[in-house]
Amino acid sequence: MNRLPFAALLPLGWLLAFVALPVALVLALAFGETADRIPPIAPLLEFAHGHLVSHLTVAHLADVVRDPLYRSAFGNALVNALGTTALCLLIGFPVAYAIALAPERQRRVYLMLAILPFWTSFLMRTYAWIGLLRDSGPVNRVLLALGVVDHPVHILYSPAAVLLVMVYSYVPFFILPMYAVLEKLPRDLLEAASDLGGRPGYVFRTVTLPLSLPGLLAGALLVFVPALGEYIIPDLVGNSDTIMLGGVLWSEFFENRDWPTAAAIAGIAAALLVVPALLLRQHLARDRTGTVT
Amino acid sequence: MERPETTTAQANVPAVAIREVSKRYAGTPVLDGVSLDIRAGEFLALLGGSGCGKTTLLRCIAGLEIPDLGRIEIGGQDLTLAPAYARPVNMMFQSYALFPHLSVADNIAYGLRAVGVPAAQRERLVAWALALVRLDTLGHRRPAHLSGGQRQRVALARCLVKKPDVLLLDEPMAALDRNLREDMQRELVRIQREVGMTFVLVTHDQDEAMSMADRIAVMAEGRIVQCGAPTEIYARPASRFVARFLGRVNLFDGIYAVDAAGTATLTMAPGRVLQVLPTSCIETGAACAGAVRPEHVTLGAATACRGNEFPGTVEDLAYFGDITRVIVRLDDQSLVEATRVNDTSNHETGLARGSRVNVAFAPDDVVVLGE
Amino acid sequence: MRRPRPAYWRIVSLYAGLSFLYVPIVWIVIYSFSGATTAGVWRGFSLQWYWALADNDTLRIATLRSLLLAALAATVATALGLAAGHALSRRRFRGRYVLGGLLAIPLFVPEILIGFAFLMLFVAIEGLTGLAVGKGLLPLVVGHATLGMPVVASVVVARLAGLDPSYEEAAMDLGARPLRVFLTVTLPLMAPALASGWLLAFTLSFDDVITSSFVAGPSFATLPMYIYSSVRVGVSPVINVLGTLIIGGVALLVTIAMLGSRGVADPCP
Repeated sequence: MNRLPFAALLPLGWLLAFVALPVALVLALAFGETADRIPPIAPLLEFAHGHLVSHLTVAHLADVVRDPLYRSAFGNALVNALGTTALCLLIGFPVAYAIALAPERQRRVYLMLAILPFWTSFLMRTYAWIGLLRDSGPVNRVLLALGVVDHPVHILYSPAAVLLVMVYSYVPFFILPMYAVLEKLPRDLLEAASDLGGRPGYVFRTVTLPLSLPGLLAGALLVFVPALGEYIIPDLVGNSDTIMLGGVLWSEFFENRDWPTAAAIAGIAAALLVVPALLLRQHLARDRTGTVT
Repeated sequence: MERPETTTAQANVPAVAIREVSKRYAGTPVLDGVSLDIRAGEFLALLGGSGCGKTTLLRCIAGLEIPDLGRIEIGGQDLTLAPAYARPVNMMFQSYALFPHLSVADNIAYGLRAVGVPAAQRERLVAWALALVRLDTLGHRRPAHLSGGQRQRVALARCLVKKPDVLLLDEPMAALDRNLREDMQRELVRIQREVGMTFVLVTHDQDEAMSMADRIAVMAEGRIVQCGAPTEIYARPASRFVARFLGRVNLFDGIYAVDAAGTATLTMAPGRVLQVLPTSCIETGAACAGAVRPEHVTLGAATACRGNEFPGTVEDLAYFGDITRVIVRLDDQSLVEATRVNDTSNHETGLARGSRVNVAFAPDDVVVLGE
Repeated sequence: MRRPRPAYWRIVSLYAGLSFLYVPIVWIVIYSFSGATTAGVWRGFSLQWYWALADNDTLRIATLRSLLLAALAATVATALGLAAGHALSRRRFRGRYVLGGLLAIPLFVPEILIGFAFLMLFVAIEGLTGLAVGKGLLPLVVGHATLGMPVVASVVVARLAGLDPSYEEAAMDLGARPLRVFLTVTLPLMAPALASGWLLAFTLSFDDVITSSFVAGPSFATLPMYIYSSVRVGVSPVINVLGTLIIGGVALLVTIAMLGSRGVADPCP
């Protein structure tokens, strides 16, 4: 252990100022009071009438814990994130495995094809789904033409639409780390397993899956954690009945201008959902080499 | 290049003086009180198995590692703590570490540019170095477009062009295939003679060390266990480890004794006595080992002319073309290896498994080793 | 399994999975050329919405603003991410875990929490100093750079992990001081990784709605904020045109980046 290198000072200082400090401020604000001014919060500590007056309360935190609206928002976010993760796993794993097993030259092309949409605007791709899923949109027209349904199904503005678009947006985050793990899986292990008499399904269950499990969990977390706080997709293709974590925070902040409640939501969300996920991630990372991600 | 010119010219000052250098990694000692003088102009090999500390010692000289304890003087100056860029030594890396984004000529010029050598002089020196390693026409190429042997030459030229006091070579042949390796070994010796620089070579290959170096320092477990000319180390190993590490050897365990007439013996068992070369290092009554090289062991019918003679049975023969190794089980069940040179006369008197032979060697060929 | 049997499930899942990713993109591009007034309805090939976009001043300003913002934020993020990634993978120092842990926060905490936290910071600074730092481009650059920095750092760490440290050691051994080593060896060898890190940070910023909405305020709308507010109202072919241009631009950038990175390869694995 040496002293801090000069070059690390700048990023460390930046992160302390623009990550650690803001997070601390939000946590402090969760104990604050609303006020009829701009910004709409009372100072946490104030010097008034010769006394040091504190405006600290746990009322907003208690509200968030007690109010069924917030509870259901947390529940909806959790269900949605779990569903997204499970579906990303089901869709992403076979794709990643198929790419990893493809011949070397094709592998690069497939990988490129899987990455490219990820580079184009996320917002645009979400927008496109509005057009695709509308009652008169291509999805319904295909279903009608195939005779699967008699009249257009209302997919848009439903939890199902949210799930579909969530999976669509997050699946590359699962395919990439999964591919990286599967691609590094030593081929001779698979060869040895089948040489010893294992049929493909057996080799998969006994060799491929156990060896790729850490990558699978890491990829699942990479989907689950951001999915918990997703705001844009539920807002654009979901309905207002299944409001989620991001939605309540957004509306408390922008519509109700109740900053302490927004901060309380953020603080509780971080404590309940994000911190456990981060700890799990650290635990997984420790098993492998010590890198940032 | 901002150092005094006189340092290495003084004959008495070693090119590198290593004094009691120790280094630990995570609590494990890698170097354990190493002391060594490297003479100006010599070709020294640091020889040892993997993990013996030879590369760490080389990196300490280069300044890529800082020893925990001890001193390193280069040309009489204490440079123990000097950074790598401020030392008059250069290192050729095992991977060669040729900068992939620079051409061969720019790779070689890198070290000159780093210390601000003017362009004209730089070009002259690069041309000289390219000629020295016989790559005159490849200056414009990228390292990726060179063969393994050519890369090695570029790495060498990149160091030579700096005209360092000491050139450090970390397993330079490791990446080359066998045939090329021997050519490059000769080439390296030729270049060393031509430029007259001090070369320090790290290797795990005893043949490489023996054939190239003026002196060999054998390392084990972070220490130098013996240092001397190849012939000296081979003929007079200082320990069982060195005797086994360099070449093949027969070891006989016993108790050492010198009688009043000055005759030295090694008693292996009651009635089984070896006559050995007297040594002053070991006292009478001490447990020790007698080391005999297989090429000093003769096989034949019983004669009384050699000092040590034991009957036995041929257990195995291994034919190597130029020589045959013969394993003989002596009547006391111990095994002895003998080397027979396959010149014409020997082909006639062929031995076979099960043949009875007499194993003989002269007392002068038995080197007594302590523990 | 040297040459595995072409299994049916592999081909199906591969092509089904990849097509799924491209359906929305194809939809955007096709309907940008439609003559209809509603997106997703085909009424003959037409470039009318491209001309409509060219006449839209608000959009043009927002686009230029977003491009400038993304370029600035990506550059800051790349500089910070390079410093952080280099320190993390090449040095052992006290505070290494603090640096790594703080870097993980923007990467893994939902952006809505981070965006909210950014705003609180700027409000606090304004409240304490009275300086109007929470307006205009500055908070956006800071916010987006903070979001992009961990991404760049992880690209840098990944690249350095695969980079033999003896290149840097050799340079130092040849007489180069640390700064020269960094500029003449580390940096050129890192160039492809830095380019892709910069591009990632650029896209991240150019696509960002949430952080921008918190810190920018409606008077300084970026392109994604504009798109987002119009998309909430409904689908319009102008948005398809914009999407097609973005997709085209990104495809172009990625192609350039890939061609550019082809030349520098590590010859000694």
